[in-house]
Amino acid sequence: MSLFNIKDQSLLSRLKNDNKEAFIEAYDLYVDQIYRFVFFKVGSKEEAEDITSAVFLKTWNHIQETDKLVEKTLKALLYRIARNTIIDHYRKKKELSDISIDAEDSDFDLPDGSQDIEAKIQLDSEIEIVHAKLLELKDEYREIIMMRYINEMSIEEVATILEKSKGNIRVLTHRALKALNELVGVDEKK
Amino acid sequence: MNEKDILKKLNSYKAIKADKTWKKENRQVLFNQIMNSSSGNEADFSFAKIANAFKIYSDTFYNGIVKRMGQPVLLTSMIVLVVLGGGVMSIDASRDATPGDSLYIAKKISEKTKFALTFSEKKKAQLNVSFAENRAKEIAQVMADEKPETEKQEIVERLTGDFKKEISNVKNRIEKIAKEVKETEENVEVIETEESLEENIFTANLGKGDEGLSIESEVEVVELAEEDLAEELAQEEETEVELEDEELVELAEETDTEGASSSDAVEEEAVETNSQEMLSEVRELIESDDFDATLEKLDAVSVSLDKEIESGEVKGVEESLEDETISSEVVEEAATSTEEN
Repeated sequence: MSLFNIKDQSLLSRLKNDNKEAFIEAYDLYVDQIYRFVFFKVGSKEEAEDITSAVFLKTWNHIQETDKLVEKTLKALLYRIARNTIIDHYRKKKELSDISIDAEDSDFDLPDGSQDIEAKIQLDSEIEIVHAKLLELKDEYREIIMMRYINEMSIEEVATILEKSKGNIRVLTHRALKALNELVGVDEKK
Repeated sequence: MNEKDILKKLNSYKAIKADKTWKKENRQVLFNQIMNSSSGNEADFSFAKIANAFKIYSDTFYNGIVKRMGQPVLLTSMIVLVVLGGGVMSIDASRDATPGDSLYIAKKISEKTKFALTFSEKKKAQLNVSFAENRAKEIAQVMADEKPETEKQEIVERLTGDFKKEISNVKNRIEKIAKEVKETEENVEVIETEESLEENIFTANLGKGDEGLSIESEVEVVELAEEDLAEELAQEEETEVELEDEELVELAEETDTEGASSSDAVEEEAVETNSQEMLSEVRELIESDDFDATLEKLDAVSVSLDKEIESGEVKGVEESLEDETISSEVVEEAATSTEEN
């Protein structure tokens, strides 16, 4: 973990110095987890790809334009920008659909990427249940479970990205997991 | 399914990865975009970079120095630095100045300051010697300069005057020191003899007291001891005074003979050696606290300088220059050795 942090720090400082090779290294290092994070939220492969691409470009520009970064690690910065980009993405999508005359495209608010995810993973029945219930969880819990258990981020990392205290993240993680467990349990009893 | 199972299932999501071909293509696209954006920046390079550099400069300058100017400590220390630094640098520049140069006055002032800041008479005398040495160097430099002869002569005369002044200063100082040293030596002798007397009395008293205690009653002991003490004191005083006189006489004789012999030697040498070599000898003599000999030497030095300048002008510039520089080196060596002591 500490070794990873050193790598992150050296990448960040090189990026600050306009180093383009460092950008490619950062891309190779983080593209999968950022893509996964985005995909988890937007649910479609094409959108996730576009947003992921935009996240890296925005991150580069942000580092070049900002003298003093709030984020201490490149990872935290990437996730923060990813979250903001996703929010922007939904906002635009909503505006478009509001203007659009035919409102048949009504699945904009929550990602229903089950088909795409199913395509990616050889789902057994249990995974299918977990996945279904995960989609029923509220956004906040789903995001925390995503970051803590799928992208395996530390409480500290999640805390900095979500701008919350570590204690708060601990509590949220616990509640999210409990909620998911309950949802799966209810399903099993049926 | 418990929590552990759920976490296991969640693990399978890790398999979700971006498409490999997309990753590759996207990497290239992003890289190109970055290259374009920064090449655009390089186009208006001059303005951006200069503005940036100025920003950094003004930030650090303002934060680092200007802001703290308000703090009295920094302000005073900077003023002190400028004043002292300026002084030191200008004196440094004036080191090789000769009369007629604009910096010569700075050289003189630095010499005067050095002198004013020295308190020991011996060190003052040494400073006078080194100033004399400076004058000697200047004479050499002036003689080497390409100036009209009359002008040179004027300057040399002035410098010779200064040189002699310094030498006479050294002389006065040495005389003073010599006097003081003699006085203190005598005082030390007297104090020493007195001390030894007291010691003897003290030990005598103790010895008698011990004996008395072991044999007799207290009163008798005291009486006996007093008697003994009185006798002993009388005896010791006599012998001590005799000794003192003898020692003083011997000492006086010694110093007399020394002074006579060394001054004889100086007079003999003076005829042959030149003034600068003699100056170095003067230094050595001050070092070894041989003040009588120093005084003799100093007289000889000023006489020989006169001769040298006369003969130097007759001989021509080059020879005298050589003499001067060599001898000033010798003097410098002597100076460093005194400093070490």
